[in-house]
Amino acid sequence: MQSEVSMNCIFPPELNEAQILAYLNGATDKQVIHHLERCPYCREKMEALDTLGKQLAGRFYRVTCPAPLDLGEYLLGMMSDARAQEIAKHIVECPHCAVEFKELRDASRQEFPSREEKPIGDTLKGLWHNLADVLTGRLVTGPTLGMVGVRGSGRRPLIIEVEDFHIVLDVQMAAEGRVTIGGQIASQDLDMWTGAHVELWQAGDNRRATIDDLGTFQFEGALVPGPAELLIISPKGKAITVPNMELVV
Amino acid sequence: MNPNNTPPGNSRKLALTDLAQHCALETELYYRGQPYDPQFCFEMFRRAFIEADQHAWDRIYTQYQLQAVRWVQRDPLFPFSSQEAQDFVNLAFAKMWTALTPGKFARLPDLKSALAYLRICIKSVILDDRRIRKWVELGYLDEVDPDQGGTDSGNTPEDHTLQAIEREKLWRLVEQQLHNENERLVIVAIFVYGMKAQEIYKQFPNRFSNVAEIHRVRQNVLDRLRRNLKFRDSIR
Repeated sequence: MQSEVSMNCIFPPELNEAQILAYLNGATDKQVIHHLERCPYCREKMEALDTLGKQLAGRFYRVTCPAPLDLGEYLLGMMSDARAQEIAKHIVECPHCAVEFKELRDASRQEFPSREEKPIGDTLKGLWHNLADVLTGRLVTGPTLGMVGVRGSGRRPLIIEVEDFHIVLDVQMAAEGRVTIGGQIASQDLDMWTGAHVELWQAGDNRRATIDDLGTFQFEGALVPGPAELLIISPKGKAITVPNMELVV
Repeated sequence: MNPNNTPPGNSRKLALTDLAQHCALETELYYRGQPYDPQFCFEMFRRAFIEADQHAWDRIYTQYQLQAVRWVQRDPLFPFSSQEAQDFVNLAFAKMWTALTPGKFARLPDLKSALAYLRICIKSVILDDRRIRKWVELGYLDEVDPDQGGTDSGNTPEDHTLQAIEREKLWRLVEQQLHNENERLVIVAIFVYGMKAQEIYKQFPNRFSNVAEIHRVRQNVLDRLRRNLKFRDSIR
């Protein structure tokens, strides 16, 4: 019967498939290597076997492996006994699933949400969408430009009006052109705001403070003058937002 | 314990808006390392998965999605992936929504276990991405352009699903040609797990006399497959 390959082996006996497969698996039989270097017929056989092997490997890679979520549900003990046994047997046999199972186990042991990597600024903003009772503060007075450094000029604080009470922000000059901010809630129901969480949002920066039992708060460190947004959330979930502020001394 | 002194178990009576607000506040306490009450957040999960309440699910997404994005960004596989962190998060939430049936949810007794399941969903979509990239590397799949919904050759995510079905059919054809457990082990180890003969022998030394036997088993099965018309037609 005529072979599909037009040539014959030029150095008989031709290599058999076991030898070729061993070569493709990395065996270093010098005679086989030498034969393949010199014989186009056997080299073509080798390439055909290699191609078939790669086709099958590409086609069937991980075909019997459970999906990662199945491995995860097995990890969490959420499967029936029969299915859990199948997966346990598979993990023993399959090196890839053994690695993925370990990766899932490591992931399941991590803290989520993570206290250590509490997203800066995301907490209040994330809370924002879930809060129904949000008030918007209105800036009623602010400092006059150019008055800093002028003797006798003093400073005019930022006063924010919110329903029936006020928030006063004292913006003071600091080193290198920056500012520090102290605040005061002026309200008849000060208890409601004691312990409230305060965030000052600026592009690329976010500062936090807590309102004490005197209604005061202070942002640590100096801030850059410019646009800012103030957010306050009380322990009982009442919230205030003051957008479009300008921190200017 | 919660700042509003809501009695335990009372979360079921709350309107969703109030529930979400309590969940947000209790999560803030959690972040601050203070005692917190998980019942409100867990009640949102219960409504989502037992009562199929889509609005409750939307609130859960709002509550946790930002943290989930950061969690993805910290994953060691993320730098090598083909998708944005937000894409993974959206896939993970979608996966949880479809995979977590009421029966499965009943096995999650508290908020901690519900969040563990979410964490597993997040990790699993990252692992799915790695498997797909491997198939692309092996030349079995074309890369999918998510902006265009597919490549020029039409390889969309839906095509990937169809290809997965086809290959499972082809695999069942292969399995029918296997005569014994040793043949199954060799073919699965080589073509499904990508192991070399030496690695198979090292892992299962009691099953085979030597590496040459593994090559012989593989050769016999491939010969049998090549004589099978159905298989030959399918592999082209």
